[in-house]
Amino acid sequence: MAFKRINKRNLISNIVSIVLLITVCIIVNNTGNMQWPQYISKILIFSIAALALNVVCGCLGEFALGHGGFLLIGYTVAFLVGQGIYGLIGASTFKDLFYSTREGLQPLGYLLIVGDSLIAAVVTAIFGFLVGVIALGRLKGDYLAIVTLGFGLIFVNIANNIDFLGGTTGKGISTKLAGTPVLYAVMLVITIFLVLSFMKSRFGRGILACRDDNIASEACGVPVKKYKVLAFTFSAFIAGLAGGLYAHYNTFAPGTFGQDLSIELLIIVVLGGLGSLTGSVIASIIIVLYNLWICSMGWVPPFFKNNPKIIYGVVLVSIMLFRSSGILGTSEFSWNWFYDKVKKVWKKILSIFKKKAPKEVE
Amino acid sequence: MDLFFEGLKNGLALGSAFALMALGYSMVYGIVKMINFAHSEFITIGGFVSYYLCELLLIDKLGNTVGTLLICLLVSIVVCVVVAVITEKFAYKPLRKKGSSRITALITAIGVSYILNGILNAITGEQLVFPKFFDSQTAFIITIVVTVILLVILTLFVKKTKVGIAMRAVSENENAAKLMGINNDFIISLTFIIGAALAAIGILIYLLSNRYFRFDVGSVVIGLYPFVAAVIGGIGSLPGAVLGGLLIGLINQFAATYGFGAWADFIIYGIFVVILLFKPAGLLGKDVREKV
Repeated sequence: MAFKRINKRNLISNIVSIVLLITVCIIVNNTGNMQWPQYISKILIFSIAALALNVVCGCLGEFALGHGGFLLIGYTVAFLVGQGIYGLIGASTFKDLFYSTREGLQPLGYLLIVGDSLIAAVVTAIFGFLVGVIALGRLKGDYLAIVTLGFGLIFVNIANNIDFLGGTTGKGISTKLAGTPVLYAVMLVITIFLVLSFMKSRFGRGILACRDDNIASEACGVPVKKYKVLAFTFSAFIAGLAGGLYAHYNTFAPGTFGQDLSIELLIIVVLGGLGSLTGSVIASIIIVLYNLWICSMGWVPPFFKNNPKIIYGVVLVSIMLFRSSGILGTSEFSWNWFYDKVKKVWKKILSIFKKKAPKEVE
Repeated sequence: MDLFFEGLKNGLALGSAFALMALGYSMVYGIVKMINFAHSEFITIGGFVSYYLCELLLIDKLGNTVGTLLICLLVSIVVCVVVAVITEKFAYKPLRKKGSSRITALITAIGVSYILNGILNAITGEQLVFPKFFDSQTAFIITIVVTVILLVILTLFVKKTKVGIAMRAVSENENAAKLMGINNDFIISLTFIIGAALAAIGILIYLLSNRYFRFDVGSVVIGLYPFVAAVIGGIGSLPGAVLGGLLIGLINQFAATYGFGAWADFIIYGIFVVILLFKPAGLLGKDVREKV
């Protein structure tokens, strides 16, 4: 994977697509439909979480199956901080300052959600650092995957058993301060920018070198262990951010952050292509929409409705068998590539007409 | 003290079942270097086959006898083996031939487990009750005896027979084994077959003492415990898998008897992480050279 420099045409296209994304979010938010803003929010949050996992799986080249646990930490911290603020200033002031039911979120409310999520992200990064220092130093490959899975399950178990942290039923602040798709879209764009610039920096290049050849990069003076822990911490930071935003999306029981969520994130990352950030976003759109379609949207054929996992499994296995590198492989989706494709197709269409034209004259 | 002995007894019974399942994980990982997530589904399939055989056919005619149990055992082993071979042939073998990466194999295994789980869920999602065959004392003795016998047979098989030696060779170095005239595909299929058979036996033993189960018994209730057991004991080491299984079963049951049932996951995974950090190859991983 090469993180190329952005040229002018790409830059303009990117800006246009960002603006488009945000306008779509604003329009969806204002149509009065209750469901679609929720769906889009979920897709955007999952994209951020998938980006976090992609830093470890794609860029560092190690498997981690415990990112559900990091999401849970972010979620819990955001929930505790939000709850604390709510308790400190009282319900009525809280509503005046951040949230009114008629206008939705007020500007300060947006700020509160972002700040809350950032605190969550920092705390999660500390946990990620600890896990990284403990696990990455000695283990690699499948063992690392299983240990991270173990850590994830430990976090879930703790939150499950301590009522203060959520308990078995889970607690959330989304009823008091719910985020909007626009906010999540902006956060996604910022996250993509953050990950891209991190991977382009000296550290990112070092991490990529570690992935490609551990020993050679160590010989070249790259501090492999430090960079591995750094990548893991950075990944945990973004996962915590996603978790914090998730707390403002809906209320979840800690149990939902277990093995299943971690594996689902891994599936998203692999489906999109290891190391491809845009691939992760595309794959999370597909997977989340599929799950939502099965669970909560209408017009589902009964066979799909009753056996959601069969289709999921068949699709996964066939993708792994026939295109194991995922949708985008290791390359990024770029508008240049898109233009080239469109140009080729356009030329083909033109050439068909050109060939036909002389015949008609004859 | 009574509490202690009860915990010990239940723990050993549960641990033996985990141990048999762990052997399957351990052997497959030792040879193909892949976490076979579908193994948990093989376990559930074994349980389903035994249950339906008992319910529909045998209980009426033969009663709750050892004979019924043996027939259940044989049929469930056959079904599990068939499923395992089909899985291996159609999902894992093409991947191996392509030489794809480990994560691809991992995701494929997860996909296969989703498919099997979906099918089992489609058959029935209700709570099933396995018929009662023995009182808890007899069940306990049978469990221990069966586990010990199987472990001895398996160890002898791996150490003494030609096929067992071929298995060890494949796990040691696949290409070199091929050069020595070993049929790798056959050995890998055989490993899956043995693993699936052990899964069928393991779930039957599990059901003797835990009679209530559902389609998620393999993927959620038992979950990753057998694999964790295999890793704790040392992947590829047969006594290690049994040791790990017993350890996890004991921890689980002691936690339950002393009122920490909800914290069982925390304790087990905590111990697991600590063990892996100090002995990355597992408890018996280094002492036992031969890997299966």
